[in-house]
Amino acid sequence: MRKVDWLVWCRNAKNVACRGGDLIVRLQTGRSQRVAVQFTEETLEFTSIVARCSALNFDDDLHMRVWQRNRSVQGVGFGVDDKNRIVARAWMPIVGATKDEFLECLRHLAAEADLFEYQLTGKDRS
Amino acid sequence: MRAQLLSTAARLGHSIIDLYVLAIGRLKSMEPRTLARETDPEAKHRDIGFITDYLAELNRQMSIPLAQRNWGAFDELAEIANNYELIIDVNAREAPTTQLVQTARLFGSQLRQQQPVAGMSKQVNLTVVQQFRMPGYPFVLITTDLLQEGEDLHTFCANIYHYGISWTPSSMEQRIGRIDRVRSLTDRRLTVPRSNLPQEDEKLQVYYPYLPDTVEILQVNRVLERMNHFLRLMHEGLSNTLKAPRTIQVDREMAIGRRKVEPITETLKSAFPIPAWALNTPAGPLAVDEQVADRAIARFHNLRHTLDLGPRLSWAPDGGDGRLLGTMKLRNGRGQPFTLLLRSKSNGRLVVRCISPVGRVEIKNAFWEIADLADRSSCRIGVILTENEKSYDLTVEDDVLLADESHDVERVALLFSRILTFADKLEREHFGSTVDHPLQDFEDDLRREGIHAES
Repeated sequence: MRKVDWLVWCRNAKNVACRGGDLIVRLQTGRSQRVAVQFTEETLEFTSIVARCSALNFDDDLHMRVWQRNRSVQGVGFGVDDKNRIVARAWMPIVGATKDEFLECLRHLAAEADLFEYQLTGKDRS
Repeated sequence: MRAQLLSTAARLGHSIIDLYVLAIGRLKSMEPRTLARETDPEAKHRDIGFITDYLAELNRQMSIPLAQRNWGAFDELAEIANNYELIIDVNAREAPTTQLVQTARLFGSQLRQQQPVAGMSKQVNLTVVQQFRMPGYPFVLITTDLLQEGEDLHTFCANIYHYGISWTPSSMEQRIGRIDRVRSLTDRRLTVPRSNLPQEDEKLQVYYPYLPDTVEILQVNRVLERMNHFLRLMHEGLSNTLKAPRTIQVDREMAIGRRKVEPITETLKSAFPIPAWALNTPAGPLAVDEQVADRAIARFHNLRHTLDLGPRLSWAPDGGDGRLLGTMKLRNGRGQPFTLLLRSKSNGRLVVRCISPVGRVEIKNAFWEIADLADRSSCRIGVILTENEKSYDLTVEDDVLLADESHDVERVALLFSRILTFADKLEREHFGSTVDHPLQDFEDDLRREGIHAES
C-alpha cells in the first residue's frame, strides 16, 4: 500500500475533505474534526487534537479523566502529547485494509474526538 | 454526570439534614460556633470523624428496610441512582450535551432551596416542579389548576387529592394524567416481574375529599358519574345510556338522596381491537443469529492455535466464553499477562480488545511518574478508580478491527506489539526490575473484564 491509496479512498468519500495534508471530517452534528494520517511499516495511524490542556482547568485530574475514558471507549484511545494537548488516536493494520475500514476508522475517531472536545470545552476547533 | 447529580443531591437534599443531625449529636450542642469555641486543640480535627459517621449512617439506612425506619438520605440517593436516566430525561434533557463542568451548576440550580411542602398559583415555579420530579423534597405539592396540564409530575408521585373538582371529566383526566403516565412511579412499581398481585397502596390513588353535609357532595357525585360515562364513551360494547345534565337541581338531588358512585372495575373493551393476525405474526430473523455468534466465537478461540509465536506465548485454560488469557514472554525475558476479549461493532464487524494489567500502583500516589511515561508514548493507558480492591488499577489496552479471517493472526500480533512491551515498561518503572507479576496475580480480575461495572 502506498500513501496515495488512502488519498484516493478519500477523494469521493462523503463528508471527508483533504486540507493541508490532513483530513477534515464533517460530522452529522454539523461540527467537524481535523484528522492527521501517518504511515508506519505495518499500520496507518490516525491522530486528532481534542483540546489544549492550557485551555482547560483540570491539571492532573485531566490525565485521570483521559485514562478512565480509555477503559470505556472502543476503537480509539486518548492521551496527552508532548505539546500538552489531549489527542485522540486510532490505528489500523495495513494488512487486509480496505477503503471501508479506513473510512470507518477515520469517522469513528473524528466522532469520538469531537464528542470529547465538546464535553471538555463546548467548542469546535477543528 | 451521574456523579455530579448524586453529589449535588447529597449537598442540597436530605443528606445535609442527616449530616446536621449527626453533627449535633457529636457536638452535643445546638449553639452556633460550638466547635470554634473549643479550647481542646484536638477538637478542631473532630470533623474528620463526621465523614465516617455519615457513611455509617448511610450504611445503617441501607441495611434496614424503609418500613422499619424513617425516610433518609440513603433513600433519596438510591432513588436517584436507580432512576438516573428517567430524571435526566424529565428534568435535564440538555445535560448530556452540556459541558460536563457546567452540569454541576445546572443540577445545583434545580435542587436549590428545597422545602418539604411546596405550592404555587398564578405562575409556574419551574424549580419546584423540577424538584417534585425528583426523589426527596418537596414531598407534597399544592397547586391550583395552574398545573392541570403541561407539566408532568409522575416520576415520584402516586397520590393525587382533588380539593375542588373540575366540572368536566376531561379536565379531571388531565389533572390525574399529571401522575398517570408511562414510566410513572406506579407504572414502574407494577411492571416489574412479580409473583403476587399489587396491594391497593401500590396502585395509583386518586382522592376526592369533600364536605359531606354540603351541596359539594352532589357536585362530586355528578362528576364521578360523568367520568365513568367519559371512560365508557372511549370504548365500545358497553352501554352509554346515562344522561348527565349540565346543571344540578339541588332540591331534586336532595330528594333522591346520597348515592355512592362506584368506579368502573370491569375490563373495558377497546374500540380499536388488535386483529388476530397482528398478534400471530411470526418473529423475524435476528440481526445476529446463533450460528453467526457461534462462528465468531469459534473464530476468536481459534487464535489459540493459529497465533504462531512459539514458546513465547502461553495460554491459560480456555473457557470458550469469548475471552482468552495468556502470558507473552518478551525479548527481555520478562512475562507480560494479558486478556483478549471478543467484541463487535453495530455494523457486525468483530473487534478484539487486548488488556494488559500493570499492577496495583495506587495511581494517585504514582501519578506524575505514570503521566511522564504515558505522555512520551502513544499507548493507551487505562486507569481503574474504584473502592473495590482489585489486583490491578493500571492497564495498557487497545483494540483492533478484524478484517478477512485470513488476516486475524497478523492483526492480533500487531495488537500485542502495541501493548505488551509498554505495559512491561510501566511495571518495571514503577515496581522495579525485580518484580514481574505472573498471570495468576491478575487472573480473577482479568476474567471479570467486560462483565461488570467498575464504579
